[in-house]
Amino acid sequence: MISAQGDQRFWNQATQTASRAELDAIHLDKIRHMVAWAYENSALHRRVYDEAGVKPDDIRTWDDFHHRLPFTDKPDYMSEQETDPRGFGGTALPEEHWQQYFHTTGTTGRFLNEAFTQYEMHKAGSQYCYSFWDFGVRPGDSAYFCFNFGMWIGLWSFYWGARNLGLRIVSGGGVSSEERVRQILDQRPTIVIATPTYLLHLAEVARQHGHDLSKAGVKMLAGGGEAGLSIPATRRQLSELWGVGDNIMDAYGVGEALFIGQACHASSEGVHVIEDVCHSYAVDPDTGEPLTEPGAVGEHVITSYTHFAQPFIKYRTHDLVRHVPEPDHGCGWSFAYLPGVVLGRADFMVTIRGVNVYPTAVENLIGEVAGLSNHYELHITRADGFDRMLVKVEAAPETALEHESLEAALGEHLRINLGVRLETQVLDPETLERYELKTKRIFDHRTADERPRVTLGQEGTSK
Amino acid sequence: MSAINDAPPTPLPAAVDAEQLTRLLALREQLLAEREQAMSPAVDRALEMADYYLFLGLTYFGYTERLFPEQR
Repeated sequence: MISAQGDQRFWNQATQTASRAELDAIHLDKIRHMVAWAYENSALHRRVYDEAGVKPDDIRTWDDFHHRLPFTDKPDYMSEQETDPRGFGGTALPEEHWQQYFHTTGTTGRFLNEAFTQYEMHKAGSQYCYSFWDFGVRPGDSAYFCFNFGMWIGLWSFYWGARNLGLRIVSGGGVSSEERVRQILDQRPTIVIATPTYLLHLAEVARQHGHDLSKAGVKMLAGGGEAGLSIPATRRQLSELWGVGDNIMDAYGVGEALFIGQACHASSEGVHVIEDVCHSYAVDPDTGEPLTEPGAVGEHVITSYTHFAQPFIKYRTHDLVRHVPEPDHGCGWSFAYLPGVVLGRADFMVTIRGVNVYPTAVENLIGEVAGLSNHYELHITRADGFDRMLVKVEAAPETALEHESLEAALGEHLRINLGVRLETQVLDPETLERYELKTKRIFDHRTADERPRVTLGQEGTSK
Repeated sequence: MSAINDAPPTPLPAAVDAEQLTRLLALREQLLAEREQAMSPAVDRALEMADYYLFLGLTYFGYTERLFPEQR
């Protein structure tokens, strides 16, 4: 039964439409609790805070949080993980409370092991309900999961969210893509959940076998794990292939801290930070100062409220975002908004002849060139002291254009819009590897010394 | 488990039904008391799981006095 009180357009109106001042007051209180909890119970946090000369009682204002509390980063956890007999870093609750283990996908290096309690899994799942609800999904609708449930937490948390809302689960695990197409045609689920690349791949497989997924009765696509569901060209293609209109829901996650951003129905090119599960802000990559200038791009820093067994506080995501604390695009949510979701990675930042090139900008532009598909890779190298980027992209299966003319068209489109010329290579369809989980699109071939070092002005203080 | 004793009064958004929050907190106290007297491990575990769901409900109020069930 749904509460008779509150505006039922929202999953949780009280916080979802609270003022910025109200939300910030709750955040500061939660952060203070989290810092105290972590200091008392996590050896990693006690060491990091002691090294910075800060105690939990010192964190009373936003200025304290921004300027006294040190950042934490993945290497802090990895170094403790390597020496911990159980193989976990930063834990704050004894093992008897842990109910499930996960690890990150490893797309940016080694796996980071994660421990979750039963409550944390419930709370983590709750964040999807805000978005599902906004798209009109209700208990009794069904969700098809195109995954074999492994150690990557992303899809597990989507599953908890679907259970949380009361959806009927249809598992697509343990079968081939062709069998998944058949199951979707037979089961006619309300929602299909997968990464955007895999949703495109499924549509290709369906076409190869004479099926049309736009006739499958699917009402909505949802997913995340990589850019795409907030990229206009990818959305247009998925909308046509699956017949779902604008019912395409993006979710943004940080491997260590779960999916923390969800799309609303009103704005299709970004996600809201679900502020009931985390605090989020953006900082200047050079100084670590909070960004206040509208439209400024900075590194995303988060504090999770779904992690108590293994806290993540003022944690560097290395994602580059535009953080809009008071969005006004008509959805009614007051949760902060990230237009374009993740624009790039601070540690993969590419500067070509003085211009910062964001991978999502390149993906957007690829989609605007007729005759190209959405399957691409970006290869970053360094030669003679300068960064270079090679854009490899598959030709669309139906195009009659020569590769050479497509390469020229793409190169010119990128030059006009980015202000720099990138190298381009057009490949035959089905040449690049397909991934069921997160697609690897960026290949950084630079050495560690050649890559940008982003310290947020705190190098050496949090190691 | 440690408690955070110096927490300031919890700020709540204006739209929160504070009376319902009070009732749910009382319900949680009752539920925890029942766990102490559970007639079997089965009942105790069932009540523990009920506490997780109840606590999830509390978090939607912007409730921050306790951040998670294990923090007593």
